[in-house]
Amino acid sequence: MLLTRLLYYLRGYLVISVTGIYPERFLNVCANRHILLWNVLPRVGGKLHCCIGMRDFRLLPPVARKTGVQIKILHKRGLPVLLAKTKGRRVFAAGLIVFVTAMIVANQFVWKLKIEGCESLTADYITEKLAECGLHIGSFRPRVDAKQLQNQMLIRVPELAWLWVDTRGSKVLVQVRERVQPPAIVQTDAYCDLVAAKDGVIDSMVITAGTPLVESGATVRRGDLLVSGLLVSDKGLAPRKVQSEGSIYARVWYEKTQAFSVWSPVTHDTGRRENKYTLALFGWRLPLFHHGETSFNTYVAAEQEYELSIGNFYLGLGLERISYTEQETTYEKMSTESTIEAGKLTLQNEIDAMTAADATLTDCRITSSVLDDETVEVTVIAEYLENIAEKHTPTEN
Amino acid sequence: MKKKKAEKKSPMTHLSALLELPLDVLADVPHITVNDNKELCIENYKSIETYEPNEIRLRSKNYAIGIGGRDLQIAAITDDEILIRGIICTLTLQ
Repeated sequence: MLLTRLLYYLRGYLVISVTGIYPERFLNVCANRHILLWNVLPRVGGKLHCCIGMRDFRLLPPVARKTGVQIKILHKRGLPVLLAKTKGRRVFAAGLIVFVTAMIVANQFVWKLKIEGCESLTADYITEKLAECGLHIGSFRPRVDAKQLQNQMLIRVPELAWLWVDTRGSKVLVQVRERVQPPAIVQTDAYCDLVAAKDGVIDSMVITAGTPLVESGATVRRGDLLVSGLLVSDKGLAPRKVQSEGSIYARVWYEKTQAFSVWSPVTHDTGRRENKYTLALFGWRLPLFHHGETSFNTYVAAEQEYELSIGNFYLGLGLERISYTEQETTYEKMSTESTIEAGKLTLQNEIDAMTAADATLTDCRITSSVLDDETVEVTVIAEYLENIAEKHTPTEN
Repeated sequence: MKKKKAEKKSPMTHLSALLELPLDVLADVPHITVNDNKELCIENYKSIETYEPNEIRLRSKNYAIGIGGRDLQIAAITDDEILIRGIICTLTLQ
């Protein structure tokens, strides 16, 4: 239907009024004679308003005679009507042609470059490398060869595993995926021991290479030798040096104590807002009636971008809006229990950051004491089960 | 006492049931599609009987279709299809 309507807009259409005793008959006859009518609106006094294509209108007089209705043209609409209006206005027509030509020429260049998918690499770095490969703001768009660009970029930036260049009008969207770096090559013939990385009590051991020097249940301190890489034979053979391998899980305790204030900072909006607009015009950014930063000391900024585009085809024009919302911090008094709970979470998070990634929490004890009316001291003692084996190459004497 | 006459099925209806094909394809019966209570599309209608903002009555092959509601309007009309928009409250087949 949309396509039909668009076609009728291009050909021109009429809004007509149909008056008669029985306008429904008019609709039936039109339908039978394959005359398309749309937006048929009933009006008072047996009247109808509807739209009809200009070419179909010449088929209406016989229908009107047959059904006994009067037809009146209310409006003429569509592209031919619009063009007829501009027929005598040469300057307007010339301006329109110049504008359309300028838009077509301007859209042959890249005015916006968007990079997505960066993790460890920065968008600026990718932009710099893209510029070296010939894609930058102002590049001639037909010369941007996506396939060649992909190949060049993957050679120039070894950290990239995949790159996709999508041209959407004057905007080029570059999507990247970074390569997962392979682990460092371990030289299996290098000699090393396993030492304790932390103080703890050994819970379990899985040794695949080397001579274990401790047993389960033993208490070890940081730096203690756990597994030796020197294999001594009891059959009189010469000692052999190997790279010790294995996992030694130990119960490790962490203790943290900190004093927390019962006054908790709470941030909320003051209700004051400021909007800053910037016009993006073919690669240039023109601030509209502002010089950058806001007058608020504490604020939250939200950025929104409006692009002028036809479908996905970016036309090189856009408007950026940064909304600043002023924030105010006030302090609210919490109960002792809430302060202890908040302190416990803070300390647990700090302890979590100190442990290995595969460590599991097995026990957690919390003690607290009220120091004064406004301060509570919280102590967290957490027990983790974690692998404390650390490779260590002994210095040769 | 008169016996009730069994409703007679057309041969096309039988064929449609036999071949498991949609009825509107073979038997030329109305195909009514309702989207929410805002839009209604009827294929294979015959003619319009009444057209008012709160009631539209259409004639189909075997029965009349009544559409009741508010601000009803015919969005598009062709020889075998009619699209009605507005607030649709009732749909009757008599």
